[in-house]
Amino acid sequence: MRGRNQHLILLAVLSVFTLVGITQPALAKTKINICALQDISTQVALKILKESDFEERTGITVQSNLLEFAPMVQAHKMDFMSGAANYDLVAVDQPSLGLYVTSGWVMPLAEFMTDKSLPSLDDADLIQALLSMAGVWEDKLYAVPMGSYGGLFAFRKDVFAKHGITPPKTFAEFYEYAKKVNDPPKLYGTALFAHKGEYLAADMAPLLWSWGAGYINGSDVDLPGVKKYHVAWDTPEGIAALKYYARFYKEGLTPVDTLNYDHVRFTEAFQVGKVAMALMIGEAVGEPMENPDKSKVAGKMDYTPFPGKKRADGTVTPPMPMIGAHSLAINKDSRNKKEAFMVLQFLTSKAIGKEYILRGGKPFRQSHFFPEAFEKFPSLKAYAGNIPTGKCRPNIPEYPAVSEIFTTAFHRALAQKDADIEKIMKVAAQKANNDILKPSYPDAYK
Amino acid sequence: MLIEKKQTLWLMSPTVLTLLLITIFPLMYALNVSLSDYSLAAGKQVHQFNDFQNFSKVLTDPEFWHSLWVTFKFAGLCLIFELTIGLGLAVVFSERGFRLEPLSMLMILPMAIAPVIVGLVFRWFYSNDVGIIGFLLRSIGISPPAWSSSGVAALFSLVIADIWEWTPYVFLICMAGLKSIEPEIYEAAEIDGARGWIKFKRITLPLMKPTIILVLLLRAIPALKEFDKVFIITDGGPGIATEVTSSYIFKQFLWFNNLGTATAAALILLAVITVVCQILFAYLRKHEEQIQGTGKW
Repeated sequence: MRGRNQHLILLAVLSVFTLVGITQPALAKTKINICALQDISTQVALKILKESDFEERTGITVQSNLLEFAPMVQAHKMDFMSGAANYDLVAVDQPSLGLYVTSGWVMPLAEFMTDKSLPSLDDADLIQALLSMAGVWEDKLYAVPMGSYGGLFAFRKDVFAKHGITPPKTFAEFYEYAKKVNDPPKLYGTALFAHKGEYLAADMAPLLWSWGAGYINGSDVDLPGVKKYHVAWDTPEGIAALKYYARFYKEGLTPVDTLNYDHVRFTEAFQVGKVAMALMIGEAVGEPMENPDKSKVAGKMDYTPFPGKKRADGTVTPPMPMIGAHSLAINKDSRNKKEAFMVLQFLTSKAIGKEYILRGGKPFRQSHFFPEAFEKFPSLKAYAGNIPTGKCRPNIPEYPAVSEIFTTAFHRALAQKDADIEKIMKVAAQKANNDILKPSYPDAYK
Repeated sequence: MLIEKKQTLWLMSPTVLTLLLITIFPLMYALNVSLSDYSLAAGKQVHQFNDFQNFSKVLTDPEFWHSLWVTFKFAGLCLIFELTIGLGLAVVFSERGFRLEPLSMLMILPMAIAPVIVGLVFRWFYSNDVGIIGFLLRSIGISPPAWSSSGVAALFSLVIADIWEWTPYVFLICMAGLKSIEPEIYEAAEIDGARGWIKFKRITLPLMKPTIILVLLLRAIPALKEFDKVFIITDGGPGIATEVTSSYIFKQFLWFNNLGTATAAALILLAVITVVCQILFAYLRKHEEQIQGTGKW
């Protein structure tokens, strides 16, 4: 009997708590949820926002869900499909912009930019090369870069000094130097950012462009000999670039597990002092290399813009690193669009730019390059030198699917010992053309 | 009697409704999507019947059949190793009379960890630069293998992670099964001169048959729909060497934006798993009928 009474009391208490929970009036503050990439730029900008008086001043509470790339895309798609609008702001990777816009998942920002009651985006200060591919679709602004990524040529000063070499100006020199310093398993000539998926596509892109090829004609490149909206990696130039890349792995100039190198592993390979030089991903530059608690190569790294490809006439192509950004966009189903814009504006604003850069954020505004920043992060100079001639991957809606076909085939070609790269990649090109691009652009296939 | 029946129906209705809501409705919805042209890309979110095109696309796609083959290879290897190790350990523990209590927490630990975390832990283990396996191998003068560049090595890297995660579970079930065997049977066999292997072959194995089938059933389902560890450790690579059917489904949805195709592939996988389960159930039923019919195992 006593036990039964206890149960009844417990039930009553629970019911009261439940009712209190239900009848609790909604908080006056507006909550803005962000689903973005877990990268240093987003983290720094969010930290600055939280430390500022933004939330107090505006009555907007900002909550973030920072994820790795694939889970982030998955979370976005589930949210868009359901129409639940759990996320007001989403980070759109540069090659996915077309997909997000044409699928009607994100909205144009024009209405907020003309609203005088809202703060300005200072869009003239944004780096135009980034903005045009990572934010603008058919002349309308949909997203604002939040951080950026772009490769640099990274090398170990001590290794180069020991071998009496200077940073390579051409890809041919890069290969020769990697071969020269290669001393496995102690030190490898280079490392590839060759994990299956978009990693490999990002690593390969600068080589395709430098050789005079690309991913999709009419999107990232305009090749006169290739029809529009056909893949562009299966041209003789493209195949030559793919073979050049594969040589590093096939000839043992890279760590044996480089085909599994994502951001973390690529960075770790440098940190443990195993790699002499590489076309370095932006995320690994700076603090990850220079922090002696994490890195054995602190103080030994230096950076220059990418090498170029020597043309037949002896001239060298300008550096063509891959540049891009995860841009912030507003979910078209968001219930608090105006507030979402205010958060977007703050996170990408010129006003927090100095602090953002000095705390390790990656630049996406012209004003992000200033003397104090160059002094703190010497690699920024090389980065600034890269941007004018840098290129972005395609951003048409079909690119993610085309890229998946490309990277799966190329990853297989790299892993197989005696793979016929040309054959594998031509088959992949045919599959991408027929299955993905032709149904979307039938006129280009007539 | 009628009131009792009504009462029973009334009492059962929440369960039935819940079942309908969480099982039947999603299944019907999935079937509807799988029969429709439901693409997320390029604003083509149309939703109309498309003459089983999604099923035909999946069934004529060599990559799907490859993924199914990899799934069966993965599940088969996992089941063989887990059952062998789990049953072997259970027999040793049971025969030697080792106490389970001190080890019980350790046994439960791998199962209590989320599969994603297991994947991340093993991903770190397999790192040649900072991973423990690479470190141990290097310390004895062996170069660590390139887990990522060979299909066989990559598949085994997944199987090893699964063995670590699920062998304790198999072990615990086998221990329970062994405890249900009457000690008198062993005593009688020992009087007849049976020892070690003979005892295992003639008594333990036949009497453990229902337990073994149960283990196969309980482990086959998760192994056939494995996704987390594959996604984290190999992402289906190199190329598509370790792409299991769940990865194929994920790829169709996430990168190709074909929700219809992905759902069709998921339903085919569901059918495959159901067939495998039915075979195991039939075997279990046959076994039970034999016992009921003859009165002996």
